[in-house]
Amino acid sequence: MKRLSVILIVALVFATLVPCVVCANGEQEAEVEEIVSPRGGQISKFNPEFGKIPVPSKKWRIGVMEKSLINDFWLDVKNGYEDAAKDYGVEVEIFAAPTEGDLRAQANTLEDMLGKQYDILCVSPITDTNLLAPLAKATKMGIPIINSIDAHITEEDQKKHNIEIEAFITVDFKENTRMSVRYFAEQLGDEGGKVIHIMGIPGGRCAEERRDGYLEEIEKHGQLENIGVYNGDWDRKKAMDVAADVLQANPDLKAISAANDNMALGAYQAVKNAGKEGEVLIAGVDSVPDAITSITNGGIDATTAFFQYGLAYLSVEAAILYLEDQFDDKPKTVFGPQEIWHSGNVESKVEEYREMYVGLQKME
Amino acid sequence: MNTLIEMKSLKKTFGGIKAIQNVDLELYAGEVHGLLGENGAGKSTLMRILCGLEIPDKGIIKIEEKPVEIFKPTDAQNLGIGMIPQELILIDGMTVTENIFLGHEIESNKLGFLNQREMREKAMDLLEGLGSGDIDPDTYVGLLPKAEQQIVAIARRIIQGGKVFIMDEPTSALTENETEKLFTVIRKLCSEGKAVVFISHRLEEVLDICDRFTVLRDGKRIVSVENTDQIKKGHLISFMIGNEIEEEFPHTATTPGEKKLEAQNLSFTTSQGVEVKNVNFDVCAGEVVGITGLVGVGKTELAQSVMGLRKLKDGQILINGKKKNINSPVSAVKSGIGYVTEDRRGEGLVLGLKSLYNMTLSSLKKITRFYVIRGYHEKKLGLDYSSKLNMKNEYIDLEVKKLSGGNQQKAVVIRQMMGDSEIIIFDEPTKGIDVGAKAEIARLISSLSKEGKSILIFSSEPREILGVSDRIYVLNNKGFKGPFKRGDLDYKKLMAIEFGEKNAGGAQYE
Amino acid sequence: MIRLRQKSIFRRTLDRYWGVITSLLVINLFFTLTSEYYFTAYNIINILDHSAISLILSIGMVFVLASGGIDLSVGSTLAFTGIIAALLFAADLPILIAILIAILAGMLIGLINGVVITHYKLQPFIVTLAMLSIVRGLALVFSGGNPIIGMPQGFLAFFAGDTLFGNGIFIALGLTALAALVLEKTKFGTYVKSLGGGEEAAFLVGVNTSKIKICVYIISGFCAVIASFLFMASMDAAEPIAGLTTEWMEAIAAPIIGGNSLDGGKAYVVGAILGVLVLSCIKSGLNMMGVGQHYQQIAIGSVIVAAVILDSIRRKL
Repeated sequence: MKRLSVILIVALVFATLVPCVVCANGEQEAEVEEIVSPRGGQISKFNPEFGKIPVPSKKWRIGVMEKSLINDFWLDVKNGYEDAAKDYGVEVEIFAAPTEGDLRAQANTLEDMLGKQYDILCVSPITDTNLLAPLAKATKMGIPIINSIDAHITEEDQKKHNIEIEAFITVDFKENTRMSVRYFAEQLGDEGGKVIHIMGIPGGRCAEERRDGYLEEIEKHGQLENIGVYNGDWDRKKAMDVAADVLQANPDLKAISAANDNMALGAYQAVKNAGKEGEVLIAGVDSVPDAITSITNGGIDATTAFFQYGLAYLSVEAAILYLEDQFDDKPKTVFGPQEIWHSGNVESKVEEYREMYVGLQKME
Repeated sequence: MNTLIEMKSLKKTFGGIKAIQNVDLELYAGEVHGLLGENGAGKSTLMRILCGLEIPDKGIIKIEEKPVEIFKPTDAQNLGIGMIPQELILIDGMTVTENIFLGHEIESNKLGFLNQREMREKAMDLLEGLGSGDIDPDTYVGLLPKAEQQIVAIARRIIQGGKVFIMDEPTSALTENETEKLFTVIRKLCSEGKAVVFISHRLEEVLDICDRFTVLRDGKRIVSVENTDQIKKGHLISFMIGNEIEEEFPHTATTPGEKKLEAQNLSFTTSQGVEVKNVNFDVCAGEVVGITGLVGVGKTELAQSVMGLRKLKDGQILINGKKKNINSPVSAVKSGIGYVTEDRRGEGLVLGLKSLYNMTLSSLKKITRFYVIRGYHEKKLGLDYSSKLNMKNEYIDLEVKKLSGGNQQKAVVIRQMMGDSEIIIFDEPTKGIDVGAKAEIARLISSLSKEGKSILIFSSEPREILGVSDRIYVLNNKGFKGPFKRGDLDYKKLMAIEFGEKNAGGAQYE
Repeated sequence: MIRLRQKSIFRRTLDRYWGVITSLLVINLFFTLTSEYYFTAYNIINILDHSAISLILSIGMVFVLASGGIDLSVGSTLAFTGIIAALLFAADLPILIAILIAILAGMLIGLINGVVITHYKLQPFIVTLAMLSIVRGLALVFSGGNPIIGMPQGFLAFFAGDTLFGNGIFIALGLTALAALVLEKTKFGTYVKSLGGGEEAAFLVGVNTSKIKICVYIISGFCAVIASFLFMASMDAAEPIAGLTTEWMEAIAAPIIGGNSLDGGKAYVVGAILGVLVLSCIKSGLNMMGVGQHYQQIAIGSVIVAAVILDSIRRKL
């Protein structure tokens, strides 16, 4: 009897409160917020081809779906979105999957986001296909989409599933690692030597393309010998273990190309443990602050910087342009620029880009 | 008499131990056949062979003159033989109906769909026939009291069909009333031509219900005899242990010293929800005090309260005249109290450890130097005590779960003895133990009190209390009564007090 | 003698699930109040839709839990059988044949689990943990580490569908009803439950405990395959990393939240549904509130811990 009454009471409360809440929400806030847009009206910060980014006519709501938030890379991205939002006076809400392996969570969360009636979405799918269904829904609901960073929704898929993508803000992943290999070729000269690549979670476009870039480029340099591609799952510890194993079997290893900085740092730890500091070149990708510190202090040797922060920033700019109806004459696919930062140039690069990277700002 | 089962020349050895040597047994239709013997005598092995849980090394089993082979439980079931084990082995999470029909469900079609309505009706019919029509067929068996669970187990056995019912210690958890009810059921079964094998340590009950007995000792059949008026308990005991013992519970008189433990105005709530108030008792050094009462009246809860395992609602406990706050076994031990539990398997022993380690568990300080346990001393200590208790030396090294119930209890008692507590509380010390071991533990309790320890015993077996205690208190439905002096009570009087009768033997007890 | 009438189904359901139901009501109340987007038709449909895959896996798990076991390999089986089906589709096999083969593959994995557990008398936890690794490896090997993209139209139409709800939830509920029927009304169901809490009683009565155990793992494997079909249909691709973490953990957590026990003996199908709903509502609600992903992890984890604690308290009583 007691339990029955508890349930009845709760149900009653529920039943009476719901209409109240629904009513309250029914009244759409018609407040006109004042738009504070410090950078509105200036030329795009990272891509001159975008031209001037106008002051937004209203406080647009941008829904962002990142891959995950457990990585310095994606935190930089988050900062990019948030800073851009602040600079231009729009609103961003950032979501991500709990881990980079959880395909369904990303899809489900994106579907949830569709219920929040954003004006535009910026998505970075984990794989080329896991977000196809919710994105199709988005198009059906008339919500515009920007495919930002990392995985690409192919033209084919777009047609097959009726998805409309307004812009691609992305990176040439293959070039990331091609740069690393070229750096090795330069540094090792004619002697060359044995090289390995440690890749990210297999199945993801970013991981696959960085591996492919490495394999492509290394063909072109005869003196470099590729002795294997190993799986590090984007994880520092896994990369460390893998590198340790390889060093054990190949004490004359000359260089390690890692698909991201996290893994490069892990590989460096293995090299250090094996007592081979200075004998093995290590190159990562992402240019996160930890990597830069490592380069400055003589740890890893290089990282490919492609301004993930900038890419996120650009996504917001593109979004504003689209929503303000000024996007028609702009390029729809933007490849972010990239550079290799290494011990030779890192300090000057940091100075140059300090403003842009919050991470860099945190460093002295 | 129609011979249902004939077992001839059965032999079974486990490792080096001859569990059964050349045993014959005949079972007649319609009889209650008592199977007696100390723990380890071979009773359970013999019955396990009959039920298909063990395969004999040698021997023949005939059912109604025809030789049969029983290799697994289903064979036995098909031949109409089934056991109701002491632990009942019912499924707590399933209903009464489901348990009764387990393995013999009534299906309503070929696909395996159950005819639940019919099973429920039949279950209720069956329970009514067993005199327990008030048991709810939909209730979960785990929620029923032990006596009702037993009826369910019997009902299940009946549904399995067949004529041979083996009951292993069916009355160990029952009150006298419930036991009587059980006996009515057994008699009914026999009147239908079934045969019941009744395994029990409760000799009075055996003498009451059985038509014949078979006594086993050390794996051999000592005797199979009809139950006549001439047969007394003493005869049975001597068959079982091979020599005369004068008393079931030997006792030596002592002179009590000063009060060690005093309970003042305790009040607590029993597991049945009854509140008990005004409990006052005391135990002096060198004295054995017994607290008894019917099953379920709250003895265990009282024992737990004194040991710190249960919260007292009111009252205080004084040790050596000083009030002590006993709220956990740790504080109890610190105050000098040791506890020998009722549930030795569940709470008393670490089953996977050697019995030696179990024994020394409470007294590691004695055999430790510089944080290291000295193995030689540990073993010597263990052998010392076990020989005092007539426990075979090689048992020390065996995992305690492999020992018989009696030996397990000895291990627990030895632990307490090694522990040097001044006050020892025993909860049902000889429950489920064979006669020989019972006597030894009783002797032990006596000798402990001779050494000057204060012993407090909680027991539901009146004869145990009468045999062992110097003074007796009784917890009945009217409250806590006593103390009574050892000589002032006999079985009848004690029972009267336990039942709360006012006039027993002319005297009025308050 | 007064014959006791059986309590009505409504009463029995209330008795058993009042805790979860109350929790579910409170959770929904909370989120409705904290976000304007939660209690909308769109979101409610989303919640139900998102629950489908976990529900199907949970149903299989209810069988396994009831028998006193556990199956950690369902996530890997989901991925592997998906890859198999996708490869067969790509080889132009008729859809039905491909589906059938994938189902057989899943049931085979279950069979192996069951046989190893019963024959060598090993702990289900360890055996299915090993299988989790092995089958995941197989999925990666067969797929070359890459997703296989593009499912045939008929397949998509059936398992995803274009209706308001998407067919997933209906398939899930259909399987659930079937499972409930088997567990409550058949001999097999009774035997599955009788294995919980130590199989002695069942064994002594002549129940073929090995056969029943193997069957429950086969059922679990089967459910993993069906869940896989829903998964693939929603992504139009078979991913070797599908079901890596969340899905199989929820498949265990949801039934426990709903009252099933790790000890076995209980086969609460409705409980599994309620448990799945609790988890889905929490995830959705937190998304609606804009709560960061990391806090969501904490919230979900806490719910699971609470459920398991409650389970152990219930077991002691």
